[in-house]
Amino acid sequence: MNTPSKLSPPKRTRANGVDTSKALTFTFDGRAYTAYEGDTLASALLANNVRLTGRSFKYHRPRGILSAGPEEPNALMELRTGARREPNSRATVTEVFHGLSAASQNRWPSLAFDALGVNGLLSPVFTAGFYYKTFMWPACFWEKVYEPMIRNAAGLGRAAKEADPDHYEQANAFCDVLVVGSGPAGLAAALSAAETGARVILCEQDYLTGGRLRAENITLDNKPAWQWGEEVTARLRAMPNVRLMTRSCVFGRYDGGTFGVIERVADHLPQPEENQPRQRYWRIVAKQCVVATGAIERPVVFPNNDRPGVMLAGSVRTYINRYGVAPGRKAVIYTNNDDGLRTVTDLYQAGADIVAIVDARPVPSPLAQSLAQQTGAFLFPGGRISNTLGRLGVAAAVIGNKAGKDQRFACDLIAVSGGWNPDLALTTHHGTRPVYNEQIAAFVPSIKAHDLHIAGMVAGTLTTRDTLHEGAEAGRKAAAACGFDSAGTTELPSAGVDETYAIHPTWSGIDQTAPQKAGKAFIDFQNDVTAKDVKQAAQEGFRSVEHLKRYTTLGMATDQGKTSNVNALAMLAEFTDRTIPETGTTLIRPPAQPVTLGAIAGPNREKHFKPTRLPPTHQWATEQNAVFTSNGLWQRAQWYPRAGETHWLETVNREVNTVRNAVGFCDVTTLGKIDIQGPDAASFLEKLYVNAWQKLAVGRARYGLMLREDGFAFDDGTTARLSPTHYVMTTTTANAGPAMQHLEFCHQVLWPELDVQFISVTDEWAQIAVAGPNSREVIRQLIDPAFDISNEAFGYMAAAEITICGGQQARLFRLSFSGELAYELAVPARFGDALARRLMEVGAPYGIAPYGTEALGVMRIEKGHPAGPELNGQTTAHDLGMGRMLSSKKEFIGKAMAARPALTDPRRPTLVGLRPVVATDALVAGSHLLPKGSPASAEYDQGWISSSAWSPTCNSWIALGFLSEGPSRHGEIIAVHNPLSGTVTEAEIVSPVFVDPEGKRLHA
Amino acid sequence: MPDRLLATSALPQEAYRVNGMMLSLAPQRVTVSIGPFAGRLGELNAALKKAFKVTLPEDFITVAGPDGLLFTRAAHNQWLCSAPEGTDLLATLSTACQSLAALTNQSDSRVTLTLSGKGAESIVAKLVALDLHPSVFVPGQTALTLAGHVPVILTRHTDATAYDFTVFRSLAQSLHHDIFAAMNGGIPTSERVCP
Repeated sequence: MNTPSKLSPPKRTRANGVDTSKALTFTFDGRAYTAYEGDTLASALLANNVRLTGRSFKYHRPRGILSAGPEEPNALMELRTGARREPNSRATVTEVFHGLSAASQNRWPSLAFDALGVNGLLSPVFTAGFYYKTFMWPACFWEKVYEPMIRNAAGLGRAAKEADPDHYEQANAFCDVLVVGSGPAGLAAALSAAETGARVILCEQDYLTGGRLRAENITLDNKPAWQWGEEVTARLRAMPNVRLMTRSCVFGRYDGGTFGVIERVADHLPQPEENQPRQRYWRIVAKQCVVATGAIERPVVFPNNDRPGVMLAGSVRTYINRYGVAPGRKAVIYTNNDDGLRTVTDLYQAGADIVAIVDARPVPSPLAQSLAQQTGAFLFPGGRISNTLGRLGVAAAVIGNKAGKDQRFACDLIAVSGGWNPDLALTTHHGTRPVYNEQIAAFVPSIKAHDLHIAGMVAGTLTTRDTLHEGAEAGRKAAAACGFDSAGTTELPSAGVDETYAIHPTWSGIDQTAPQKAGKAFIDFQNDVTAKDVKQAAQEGFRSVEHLKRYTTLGMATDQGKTSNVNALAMLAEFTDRTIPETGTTLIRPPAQPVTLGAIAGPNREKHFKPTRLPPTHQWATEQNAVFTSNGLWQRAQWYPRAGETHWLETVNREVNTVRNAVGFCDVTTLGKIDIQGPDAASFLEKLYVNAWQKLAVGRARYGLMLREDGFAFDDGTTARLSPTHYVMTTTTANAGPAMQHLEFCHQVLWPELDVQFISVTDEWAQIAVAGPNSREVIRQLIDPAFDISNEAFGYMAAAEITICGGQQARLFRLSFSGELAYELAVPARFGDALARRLMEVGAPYGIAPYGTEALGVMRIEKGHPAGPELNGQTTAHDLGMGRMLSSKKEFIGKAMAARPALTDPRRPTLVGLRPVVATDALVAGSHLLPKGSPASAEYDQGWISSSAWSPTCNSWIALGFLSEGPSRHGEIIAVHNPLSGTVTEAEIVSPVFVDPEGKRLHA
Repeated sequence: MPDRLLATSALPQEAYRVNGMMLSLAPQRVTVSIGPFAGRLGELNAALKKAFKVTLPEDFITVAGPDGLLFTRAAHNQWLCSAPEGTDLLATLSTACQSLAALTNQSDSRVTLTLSGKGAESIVAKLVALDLHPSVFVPGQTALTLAGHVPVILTRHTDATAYDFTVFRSLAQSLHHDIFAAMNGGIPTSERVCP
């Protein structure tokens, strides 16, 4: 039965969802087949008589197509090849396109002959908890031996090895009413809500609307029901207040009426068109939502119920009615409800032989009797299927009658219906558990949310007429809740005679007197969890369904137990002598269906993972072949290599020497800059900084340190006074955002009485540091003659608003991070690029060169200036050697907490300089400081190195670090232990200021 | 005396056109932020009314004054005033409202990108988590929000056909890339495109 037809696919009849005028070809495991536009991979394979579609997860048993929807546990495929190969794709929701390449997975060497099928023989040991119990010793084997071995043997498909070549989008949408599902209830809800004028979004995971209207052979207004669905769809599309989204799965319900939706934009194409996203991740915010997601049929658990050819009865009808494909020619129907019997009619009308009807209900059903008579089928009231036979697909069913006598029937299809489970995932995402409804033997939503309405089969409503009316009512109520007039009524079609259900909760066909005799009875097809596993778990004390799930792996993986969970907990209830409500059910968490990781990342990948900020000189620096580094979001020039330089250190040494001996410049635009104005601006600074600000003269700048409320150092920088009520503050690059937040919090919450205003001007000004003994001469070339920048007139820490280049606005600050005579020159950002170019021109006679952040870092270590590695959130002002800056004459943020004994303990590691005894012995940041000769253990750990560099000025490695009682230990030799390299280096404790400790250079 | 420094734009001046939409750099304007001092908003509005016949808008919108002046509510207790390039706006405002508000030149701190054309709304919706329906985000309205990961001041043009993204200069290239990528991704087929 597994030999594919060599002919064209049989003519499709009655198909309402495929276009038989448009033939397509595709391959499955390398073999070519024909399909029609509108086919899923599953319907196309069935049409081509292919029933064997995969191997099971653990036992590698042959498996076929079970369902016709997203709940599919068996028919999982690898689609496409190369970088676009995607594993575990459900054939039942994969749209066939011309040239589709699909392959079965989890088999070797072939699907028909799978060597690992031998696992099935070992099944007695592969029971629940097998891995936990078996692979315990030795413990170190788990990661290196057991886990790789198990992963090789068990598993699903193979992900592509290459990076995903497609791109993904994210988008936002808003509406009054979101309707999820476009079956009869969903269409009626969308229509009734839209008729009130509400903004409606209708999401349908399928590529066609209609849901059950297409799957079933039913009529509305005496016409095929799917035609009514198409008419309503067309009406909705024409309404300006409706957005209809097909191929869009609502996978999660989140807070505040937010829903996650994944739209499959191009999965039905061989590959996305140029620039077209493959998928789009929507965030939909809805005031009201109507959940009309329908229901999922559950199988019946019986021995060998997993052979290809065993299908859900409703899915058989879907293949017949929507795709025009009869999945078998000789069929047995096994049902515990009237709905399953509809498959008898549809199959019979499609030309199949109905071999037998097994009605599990103890009371004979008149409908079953009538259908048996009509189709000539054997009827087994109160019967069960006690086994199936066949190698790679079902060839016969063993049917036990009410008296327990077995009889064998040849067949190629067993359509089973254990009843319908409302597809209620979205109703549980906020933690509301569903409740058990005895009447329909299923869990139904219990949620009572003001913004959520449940309609149709998901609410447990099983007739078409009621479903339509319930949908329309839900849509109107939802619109009314948004303030729309819902007085009118929506015209609904006549559904004729109501369908009957009459379910009897029969969960299995296992002979409990000899459960092992016939073979494995599967509950969870995807994870190969059997009735025996559930029974064993119950016997071992796993009474909670949540524990059962984790112990047996039930309900995991791509299908999340959509066809298995209720059967499992029903059997657990049986094995533990409890009712189903007493046993309870698991909570369903988002996503309701698999979501591609790429879609979650959206366009934010690779170098666009986060935005970048570019300083005004970026283009110029690029032209200089600068190497860039990230400082937060900023891209900064790290160094500027020149021809002939073979190592970055060579470049950095040259840049440092240039600054120390001539002049260099560096773009420092990235430092946070905050414009502060107001009568209380000085008071504001007094409260923010640890040091005094009231007496700072206009035209002067001062270094300031801020603490957090807990007394630890937060940020530092210089602030200049431009007028009695106007300051400009600088922060570190990394902390610019947090510092601004800190200021806002302090002003808005702590001191709203202060009359002060502040705003970021980081991007307004391009600021360039010009440093080195020749710096004054260089900037003198630019600054208009009216401004005196002599040392006497414009000394260290002076600040002024000036003009340059014949009247252009600028600001000049005499600040130095390098320890050299230095200035920071600020111009409006649009002139930053030109300023860099001009500095190169006018500075050429003075030996000017640009320097990057690496040289900047070396020079600040040489000068002993703390930076990010020192202000790491764990250090205090005392630790940084700035304890004396803390004013005792005023209040400031962090003052009280900074006075805690633990924060002022002299034994705390405090800032020191370190110089190796052997100048070329590298000191590495992160190394631990230990007394010389002590063992490298935490007991003797006295501190650490925070920053280190090779100093071309000192011709030695140097470092800054924190050492217990450090300032009193200058001159001591200490051990520097680098646990990463396992080395110990001797270093001398010295002052953190290595260069020009008297400050002569910067005052020059 | 050295020559004057030449200005450089944060982005190329050329407009990008995709699928009938256009992304372009808005003309440079002079911009000054206005932060009223404590309790001085009434006096400030009176001064502005006298000088420019407008008051600062309470809502997040833009109002127009004489000579191309625009006043935009930009944040808590903060407005941006802009004027055509060449205006000595800081001096003009200082004269009108000295000591009533903090005035800070912001002409170079921000860049405005304009996205226009049929379907622009659907492109904005890919980046901005705001309800852009014209009954909610009405023409002329402004919002401080995120476009993807980039903070922006988003303004819908009064004729409803275009959107301005005002962004910090340093982030302009990133935002330009993100909008351009969204434009290339096309208009979702489910979108209702406003005529």
